[in-house]
Amino acid sequence: MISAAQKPFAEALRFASERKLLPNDMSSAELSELPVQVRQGAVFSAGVMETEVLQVVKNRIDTMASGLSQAPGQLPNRASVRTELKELLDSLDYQPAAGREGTISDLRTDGRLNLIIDTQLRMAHGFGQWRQAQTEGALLLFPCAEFRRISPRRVPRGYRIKAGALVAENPRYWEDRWVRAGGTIYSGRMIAPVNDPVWENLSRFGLPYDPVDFNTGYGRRSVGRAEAVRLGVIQKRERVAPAPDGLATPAEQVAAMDTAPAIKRRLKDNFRASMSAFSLGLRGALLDVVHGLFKAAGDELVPE
Amino acid sequence: MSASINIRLTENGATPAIRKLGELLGGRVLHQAIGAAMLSAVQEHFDRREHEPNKLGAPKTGFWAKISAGTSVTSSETEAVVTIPAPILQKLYGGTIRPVNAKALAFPVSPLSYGKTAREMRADGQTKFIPLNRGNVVGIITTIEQKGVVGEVLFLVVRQVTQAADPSAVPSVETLMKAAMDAVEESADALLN
Repeated sequence: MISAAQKPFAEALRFASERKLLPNDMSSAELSELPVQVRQGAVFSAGVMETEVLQVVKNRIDTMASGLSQAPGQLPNRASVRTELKELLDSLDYQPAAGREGTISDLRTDGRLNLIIDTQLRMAHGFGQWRQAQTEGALLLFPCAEFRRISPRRVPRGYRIKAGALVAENPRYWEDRWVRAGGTIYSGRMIAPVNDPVWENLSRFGLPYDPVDFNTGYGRRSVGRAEAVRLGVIQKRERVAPAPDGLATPAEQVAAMDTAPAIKRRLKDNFRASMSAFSLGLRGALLDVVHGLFKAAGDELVPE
Repeated sequence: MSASINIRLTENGATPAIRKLGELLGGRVLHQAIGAAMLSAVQEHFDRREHEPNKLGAPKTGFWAKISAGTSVTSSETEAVVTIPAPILQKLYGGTIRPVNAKALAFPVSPLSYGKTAREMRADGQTKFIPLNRGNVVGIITTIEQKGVVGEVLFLVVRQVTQAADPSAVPSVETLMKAAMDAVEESADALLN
């Protein structure tokens, strides 16, 4: 029976709601040095120091990840969140870095805002999908997953536009990347056990769930036991063990940050700068949302 | 609201292989497996919809991919439930949408405005509102006219929108049930024999 219900996507909502804000002035490449335990528990985007922007993103992603709406058209969508963020940026008198106007580093552009919203939502959903694939029954029936195109792209990776036409540069981009990540191709298909290390190796973010990269149309889909056995991915009665929870505790995040002292110093400086933009009354609220890695000690932020 | 599809395995729906698997695994694990199979079948359906071109021929917004990614599954000793995010309800049942915090609704009618809001295009200074006030139609929003050339219509502004139901938005319960049972039975063979 199909019926209307008030049933949120619990695992996606848990992922989204537990994350803390991470204002920063770093590039994507610099942020890739951030320990994975911190990265997956934070709402951030390269060079975004505006905590208010991150807070709106977080609030709306929480709602979108739940999948619940009170009435038709009431669930936020990419366009409505983008509109809200543009209005917020105007109210903050946001200015992109000189010479970067209209580029992907300009927060006012559709391209950048879509990237932030889509990546954050896909992370929450990807985590939720990954968690629900870990039950005993799910692993018995679907012990493997296939990496394949699930959404079309105007210019897929490995292609470019030349004179208005799509030109192939490396149509096997994903197969090459899969093999470099330690994956095996079975009858032309990229398939691996659900908790194989290839998934983390494949991911730009070092995470075992979707998305594996920015704006990709590729993702994971379940492969049934019989098919996986037929293709030789697993043995007939082979069992795949479930993965641990996947979300780092605050203590694990702090320990992970200690392994990256340079980026930790930089983040502390970013926090100070971000906090100085707030009134004293708002500092408590900001500290409350700042990712549990630091606490206030006088005028200092020290590791929690 | 979200849309829930509940499937409870009954004696009638179970083949001997599935019953044997159920005896071996217990109701909770069996319904986890059935839930996983339902999820897989629903996502295959949404994947097919995602690859269909949209009516305006505009760049796709990934509606079906988001619906697919947001679909969840829960199970108990006695049933498996697949839950699909709220926007599927409007697709599936259709119905009238009325403005909540505004006086009218603007819906896109051009590839230029597809996936955008009228508010953000107005803020960018790209649009002009032309009042019409004819029945349900409040007016139109167009691009700014250039050198005497009338702008392109981007949005129709209306008091309400009634959308038709799309029963194919989700697979039928029968289709899902069969897909789930086939998947369980096929894997039961691989596990038991």
